[in-house]
Amino acid sequence: MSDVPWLTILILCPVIGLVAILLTPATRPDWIRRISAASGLATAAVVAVLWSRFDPQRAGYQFVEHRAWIPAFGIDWHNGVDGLNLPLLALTAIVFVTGVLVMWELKERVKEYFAFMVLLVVGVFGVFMTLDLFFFVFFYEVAVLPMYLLIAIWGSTRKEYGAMKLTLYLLVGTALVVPAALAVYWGAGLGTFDITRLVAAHYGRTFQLIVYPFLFVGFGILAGLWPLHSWSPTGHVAAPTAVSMLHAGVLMKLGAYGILRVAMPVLPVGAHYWAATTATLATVNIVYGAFVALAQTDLKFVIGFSSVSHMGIVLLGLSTLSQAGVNGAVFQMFSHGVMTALFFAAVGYIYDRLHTRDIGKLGGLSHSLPVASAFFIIAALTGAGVPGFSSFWAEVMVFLGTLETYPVLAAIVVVALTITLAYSIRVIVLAFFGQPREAHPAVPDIPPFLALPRAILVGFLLLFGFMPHLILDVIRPAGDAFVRIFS
Amino acid sequence: MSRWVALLPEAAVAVSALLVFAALMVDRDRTRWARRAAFLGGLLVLAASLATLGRTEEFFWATYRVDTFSQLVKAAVAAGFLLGAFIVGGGEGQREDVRGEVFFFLLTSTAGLISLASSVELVSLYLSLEIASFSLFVLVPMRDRFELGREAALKFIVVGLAASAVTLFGLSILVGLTGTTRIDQIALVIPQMADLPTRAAAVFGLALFLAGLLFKLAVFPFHFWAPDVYQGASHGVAAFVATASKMAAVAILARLLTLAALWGTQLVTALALMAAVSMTLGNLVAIVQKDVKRMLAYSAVAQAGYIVTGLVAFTREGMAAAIFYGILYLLMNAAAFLVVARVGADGSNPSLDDLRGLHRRSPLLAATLLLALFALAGVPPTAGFVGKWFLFAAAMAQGWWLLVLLAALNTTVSVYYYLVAVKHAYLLPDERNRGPLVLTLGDRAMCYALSAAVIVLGVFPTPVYHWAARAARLLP
Repeated sequence: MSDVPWLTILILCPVIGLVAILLTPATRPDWIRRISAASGLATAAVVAVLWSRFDPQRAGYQFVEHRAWIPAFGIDWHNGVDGLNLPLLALTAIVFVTGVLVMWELKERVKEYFAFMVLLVVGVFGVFMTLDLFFFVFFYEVAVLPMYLLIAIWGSTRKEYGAMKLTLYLLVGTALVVPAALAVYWGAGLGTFDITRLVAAHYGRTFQLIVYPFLFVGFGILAGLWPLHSWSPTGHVAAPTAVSMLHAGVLMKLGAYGILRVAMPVLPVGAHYWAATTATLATVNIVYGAFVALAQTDLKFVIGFSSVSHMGIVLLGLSTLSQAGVNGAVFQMFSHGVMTALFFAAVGYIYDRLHTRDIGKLGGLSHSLPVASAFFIIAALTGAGVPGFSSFWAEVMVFLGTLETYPVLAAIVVVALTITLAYSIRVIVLAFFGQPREAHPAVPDIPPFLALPRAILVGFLLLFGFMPHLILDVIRPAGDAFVRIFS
Repeated sequence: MSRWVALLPEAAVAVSALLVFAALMVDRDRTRWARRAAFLGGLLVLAASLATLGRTEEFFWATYRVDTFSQLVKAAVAAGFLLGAFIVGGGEGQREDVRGEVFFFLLTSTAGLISLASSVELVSLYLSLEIASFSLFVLVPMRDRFELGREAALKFIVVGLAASAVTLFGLSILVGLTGTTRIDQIALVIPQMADLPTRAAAVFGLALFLAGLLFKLAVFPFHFWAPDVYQGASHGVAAFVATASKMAAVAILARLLTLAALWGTQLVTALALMAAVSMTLGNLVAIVQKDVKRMLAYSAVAQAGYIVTGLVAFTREGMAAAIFYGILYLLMNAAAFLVVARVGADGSNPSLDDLRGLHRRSPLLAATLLLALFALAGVPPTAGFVGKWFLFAAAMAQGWWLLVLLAALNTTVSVYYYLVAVKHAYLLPDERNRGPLVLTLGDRAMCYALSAAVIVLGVFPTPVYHWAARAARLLP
């Protein structure tokens, strides 16, 4: 293995991009866009290198970088990649690049927008690559806070309320995570925040049973865990397009990833004890999200609640503690990320041109905007779990995992999946077919340059829909090893 | 003879005060000359403190101790003085006839704080405390055209003197029971007291003595002066109170609390309770404030609670974390007050509404405010995050999980009002359509320097923490 610090290079791409943006005068928005796109493409290139050099069959972490950072508290700059986080790094790069392209037409306060967005991406990459609990929380919060400004300044529809609600909910999550992380540090008694060593440490059963819910709920809030999910649809609706993409596409995965990387392996006894409870909550997520989505009239609210429902599938997969469930959950994180990004990108274009997202006012869009409509319909079909798109495999795997462990919940999930199909079809039929309910200004269909990012997202959905082994080969060895902790 | 070199910072502060005094005798431009002398003096003190960092000497029958701990605190206090003097600027908002004198009294207060850092004996500790406080009693009413300034000054003096009286009473009990005023000897004598009531009385005496320091730190229930003084004092003076004075109080509290650890849990529990109430009360009351300085005052009450959280760990890590946080706190508060002073350049107190449209009027000030407030809230990558992490980790390592949980929840509450301020600066339009805020070159440089410091220390805390840890190791 070469000693090139690929992961440090990966996180430096957006950091350098951020510095460059800050140094560029605000009067040159074209340069700021180009810098953002360049740093996005750079991260994509590095992730491509990682993916090509990654050896799925090797156990443990690869591309490991390890050096002391704050020795007094046992905090290290420790990064590594395995099958669980590599797809998520790829997801982040994909959504970052497409997110920058989608916002190319932004006019208002361009410099600040891209600065905050790139800062957010720094946080996301950091969380996905670090193996140190301190840096995990550090980057986790770096990713959360720019959100407030991104939504409050550039958002729509009750943006200040949505932004503040989202921020406070997520910070309550961190307020649970931070003491729990420190408690783990204390409980392990090793004087280190190194996750790989914390995983190996021994904790008392009572300790695990008490601390695990703090971590699960704390991270779960960001993953849209019912009943603490209500920030998510409000926030998504309020956010500007690319922020919704990043948020639903990537940021919600941070929560699930926190459960996967920190909560479950560090406190396996706790995870085992609470698994039935968390699985039930996750099932409520799936069912509740689907039902509420069925009743929405705002396109973005439909997507927002569908995210709540789909993130429930991830949480359910993790809670099964089974191979199929965990592998499916990781796959679902990736595929839901791409799908939601496409969803929001598609709606973003329609809203930008027609200035409405109300299903009651739309209709017949497939005639006037065939390409833009196609993107939305593809996303909706993916969400409904239609074969041919990547979510199908992910959902099937989670379903099989659930069937093994919680057959009753699996039965409920099947019902919920039909509702998912129902709300997807309802939206497609009402908004995109039939006759327009209100007269709309004649607007051009999506131009090629703006279609490009959306087409990239569709490409990934199809690629892993038809060739799921490309990603499952990466995930599976790590996922199988992960499940062995609990047996 | 060479050992007297260790007293260079004290000499420097004395010379500087004389320099400023001399500058005030100049007929023309006396404010400007006083300001130059003050800056020169501040730099001298800072340089002298840093130059003597690492020396260990004792003076005056072991009542005055120079060590890494004291010199680090002195350097921080000198930096706080420089920042305060910088924020005072040309003295806008001060009474016209005393604009130059502000620098003089800031320096005398600094002198008190500097000798406080080296005091290892209760009487010199008390005297240093009073020198620092009395200078501030004079400074607060120097505010121009502001009725509340006089009220604040009166409150400050009355509460301050009451705290002094309590401190002295505690001192007399301690001296009477132990027969010594040296901290290290008290620490030896008290555990040997066989008689339980005598020991309890000694702990009581120490608790009373601590009150004087908790007053300086504005910990509940000694916080009542803070909002009025922050609001009533001019920007520069308030900045000095919030930075240099706070830092010294944290440090000396750390030194005294090592004593408290020796005897009994009641005092520790009481401190933990004070910390809990401080942060909760400070944060909740800060939410409803409209005056930015008043908001910062209540936030300071909450921050004092966080610092005490680290101190009640009674470990070297906790002490180091508290000293480290004191240094960070100095920087982030200075940044916040710099923005307050420049937004209220006419000397008036900016309200939240005055922050409106700041991102358009001066993007640099808005960014500095954003960073300062995020740092106070403890959001990474700013230094506030790592500082709080250290404090909480130290407390958690001693099993204070409930306190840490409360502190973490409090952090969430605090983010709300910091975000409200950020919202005014970044989001809400300026209805009065005020023009751009023009900053001097010095102001711009200071904004960049403080912002950079807040981020760099947040990502690379080790070098500064290393010194804080070395200082904490030296505590008795």
